[in-house]
Amino acid sequence: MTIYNPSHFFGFFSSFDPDIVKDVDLYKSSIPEKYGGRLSSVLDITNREGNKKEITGSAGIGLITSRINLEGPLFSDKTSFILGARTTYANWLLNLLPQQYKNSSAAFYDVNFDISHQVDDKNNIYLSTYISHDNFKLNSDTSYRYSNKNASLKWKHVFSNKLISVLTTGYDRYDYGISSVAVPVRGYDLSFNINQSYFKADFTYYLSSKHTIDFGASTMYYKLHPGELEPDGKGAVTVPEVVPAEQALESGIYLGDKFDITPKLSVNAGLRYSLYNYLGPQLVRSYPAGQPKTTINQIDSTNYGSGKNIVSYGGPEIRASARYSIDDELSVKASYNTLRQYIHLLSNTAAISPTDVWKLSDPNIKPQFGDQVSFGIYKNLQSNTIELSAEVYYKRLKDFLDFKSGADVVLNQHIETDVLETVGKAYGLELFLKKSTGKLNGWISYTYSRTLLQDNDPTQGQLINNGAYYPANFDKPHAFNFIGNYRVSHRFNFSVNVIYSTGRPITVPESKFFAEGAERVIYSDRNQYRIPDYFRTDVGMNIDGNHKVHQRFHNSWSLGVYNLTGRQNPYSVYYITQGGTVSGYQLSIFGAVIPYINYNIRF
Amino acid sequence: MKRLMIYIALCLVLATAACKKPFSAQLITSASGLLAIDGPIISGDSTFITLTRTTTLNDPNQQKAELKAIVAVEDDQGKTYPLAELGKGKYALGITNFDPVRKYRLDVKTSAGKLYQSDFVPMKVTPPIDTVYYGIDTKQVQYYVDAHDPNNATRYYRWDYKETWQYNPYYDAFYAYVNGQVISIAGPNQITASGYYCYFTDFSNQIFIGNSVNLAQDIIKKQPLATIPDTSRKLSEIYAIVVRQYALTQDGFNYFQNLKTNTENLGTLFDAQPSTTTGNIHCITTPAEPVYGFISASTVTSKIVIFKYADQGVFKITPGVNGIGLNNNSNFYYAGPDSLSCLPHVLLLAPTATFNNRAAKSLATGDSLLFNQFIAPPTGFEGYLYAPKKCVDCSTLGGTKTRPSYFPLPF
Repeated sequence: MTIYNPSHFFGFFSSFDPDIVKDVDLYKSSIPEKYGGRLSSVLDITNREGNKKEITGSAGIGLITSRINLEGPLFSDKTSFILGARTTYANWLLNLLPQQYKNSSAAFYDVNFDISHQVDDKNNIYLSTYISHDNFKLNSDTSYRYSNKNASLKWKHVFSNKLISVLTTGYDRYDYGISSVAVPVRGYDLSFNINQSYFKADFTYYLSSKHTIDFGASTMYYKLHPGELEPDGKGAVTVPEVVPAEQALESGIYLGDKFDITPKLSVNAGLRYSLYNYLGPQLVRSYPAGQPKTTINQIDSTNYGSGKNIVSYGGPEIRASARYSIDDELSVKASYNTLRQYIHLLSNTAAISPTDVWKLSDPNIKPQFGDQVSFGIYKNLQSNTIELSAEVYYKRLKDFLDFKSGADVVLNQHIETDVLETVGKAYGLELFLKKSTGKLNGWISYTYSRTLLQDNDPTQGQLINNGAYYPANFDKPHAFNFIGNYRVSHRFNFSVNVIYSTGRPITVPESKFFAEGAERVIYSDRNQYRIPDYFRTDVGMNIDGNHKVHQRFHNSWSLGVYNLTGRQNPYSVYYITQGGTVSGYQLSIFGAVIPYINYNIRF
Repeated sequence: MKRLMIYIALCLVLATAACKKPFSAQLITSASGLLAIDGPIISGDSTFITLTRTTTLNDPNQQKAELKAIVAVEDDQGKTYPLAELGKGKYALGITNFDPVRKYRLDVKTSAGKLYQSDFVPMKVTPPIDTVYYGIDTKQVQYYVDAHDPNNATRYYRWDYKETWQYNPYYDAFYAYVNGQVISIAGPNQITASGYYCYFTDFSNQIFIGNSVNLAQDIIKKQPLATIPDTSRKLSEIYAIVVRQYALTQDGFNYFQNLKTNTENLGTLFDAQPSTTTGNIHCITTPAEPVYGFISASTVTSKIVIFKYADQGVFKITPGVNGIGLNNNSNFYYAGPDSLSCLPHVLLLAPTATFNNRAAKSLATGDSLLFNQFIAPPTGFEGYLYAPKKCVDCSTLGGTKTRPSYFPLPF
């Protein structure tokens, strides 16, 4: 399943329920050939299977959030389930408040429900479902929401001790929207969604002690709704507007070999071939080559029927990596990947509510292509209790989509006229230290990373920043994370979480002049400024009840403070015209110290 | 317990509710102090060019005028038409008929000796405006313009407008306190003597452009111009709009489009990607120096339209809401100080011995104005009524008593 927005409360909490998650694999430097469709990195989350022997669980109740986790056998010891749910229930509290606060709201919930069933020794079936929803009301008249809905069914079959297959089918949906009744007659509701249905077959063949072969195929059908505007609220006369849905099929086949040449040297060599079809129904406009794609230059348009293949893209993707162990505690790894991405993300970052618009590749918009080399060195210390690593990477990007200057961002009916294909380069260094055991454990990471884009196509009009490289919207050079736990005693532990990152780039008005009866602002070059840096410290402590082994329930208290320094981390920076003058504002969400206390019970 | 809950909820609001505070970027380069040139070259009418300097975003001064520059229109054969300096950065050329087959540019030499020039632009001929009319939205009046060019040669249009409206204070005065005497001002001169009829003039401060490029014929239909919210004093009585229409080149249209998307309605969800504003003016002395503005050249056509809202009775404004109400003596709509702040005071005749002293005490400063007789039904004339100046003299509300020549008589 694909989670398009992996956070709650605008990045405050992760979408993944720690009670349920078993493994988290982040593939950044070398991406296995079984994954495709993204240029950046893949975060693969594996959930636990439920307890097959007895019903167990845990629950927590707190001021702001509550959670429950339940797992156990279902009908027999062949089947188990695991359920995890979290919610906030602040709204009823907010309703106790005086009138002027009553329109505030902030809430999320998520539910994981997985069933695993062992048919026999050779067959296992897994059903996974996930649903999450966030909403937030701002200035009491504009509300934001997003939700993920995912379901997948997986059948794992063991042909022999050499060959294993996993067949997966599933459906993902990501919805987001904004509605405002700030001006009642202009009340609107703007919504977007992405739907994808997929089927994939993954095989692993243990050819010999030295070779493990992975191969498989996958296909995914996309249906995207890139924007629908409807009147919202009583008396709203907003004219409805719909950007037509888009459809596409993305397929891939892959073959890879993990070859352990010597006990010290192993090589992964893989090839993925991806194929993309943009499908009807669609109205496709055409533009003369070598001239700006503008509505004025449009030469023709063609209506394609439902299911009609409009354009195909595809090509091979190379995934290669090698690892060499210098000794038991020191190893190095090098990799080279090429990647293709067929779905594009465009963000308008100048508005009060930065909005993402997703776009599928079409005859006018090519897929993105990237290739990257990376090198890493890994060292373990003190009998593997401390892991150290340093990785560097360099990536080239081609046909990376960005907005033209002056582009209409939201509800654009012909977005190809407002975007351009840039080239880019991304590079960085990642340092990581982890201590996984002991009274004091945790990890520290520091990343220096840059993503720079360049508009080098003079046929599409004025070049962004005169053709110089500029930071991508998500370019945040410095990122620092620290998570530390200190176990004072068996019943008491203390934890600290520190996050720092450079603010994302923005384009700001630098100066102004007077023309046509009003102040007119002059913008800086694209992305030459940054919003203030993000910095947050959370501290917490956990106090366990007694530790008698034979009691049915274990209880504990967790208490702490989110955002200890009360820093008002900006969610957005925007400029508005008020009475003929221009003023800048920054909007913070959770720009305060937030204490929490939770009572937890485990059974 | 309830109190605790409220406390917790308040904490949550403080924590969760978004917090908005001013933001100003630490500007890397100071892009201010650069020349900006505003105003088209007009054939068949006066040309006004305004020279200003760009200022930093947080500079409270709206305009920083460029004085003592030498400004001239130049045609492609080298003939020049110098503009005269009016002050405050304004330069003017009297009514001039330019040759429509020539191309023109603007030359500016600043007092610092720097030379600026626009590109040569064609002298476009602007077709007449067909109609200016309004439509009523739930909460506002929306003006529209229609135009067409039978030769299909214009295609790109720009409009600006001047609007003037007549309005009244709360009271119509028939008596006045002048030099220590109460005098009657009723009669033929009452309109000018009283402070009842005022005129307020304002100019458009938005960019209005339109094009017909996607149409087979060069027709502009229902192009939106000004909007007036239904609470505006503009809708009190009589409203006149003078719309001026200018033909543009495609480059000119693109420039204004860009300027409009960049500078109007910032901060909304539907904002466009910001962009740099590049016009057609260059610094010849220092080619790398940015110059802001776009020089276009055209004839101008205009249309005056006058609306009497009160007669048409299109607005049903609730008295007393938002300072809007029916005034006391007519069915005209009235916007301004509400009836509560305009409660009349009475200056009784009796005792007559102290009348002059009492009158001077109440009226000599001019903060209150006398407006009518006080008639008490059984006895009749017992004194005079006076009220705060803002309720009697319309000029305190920003307008002037001078009626524009194209304006009809006030009633």
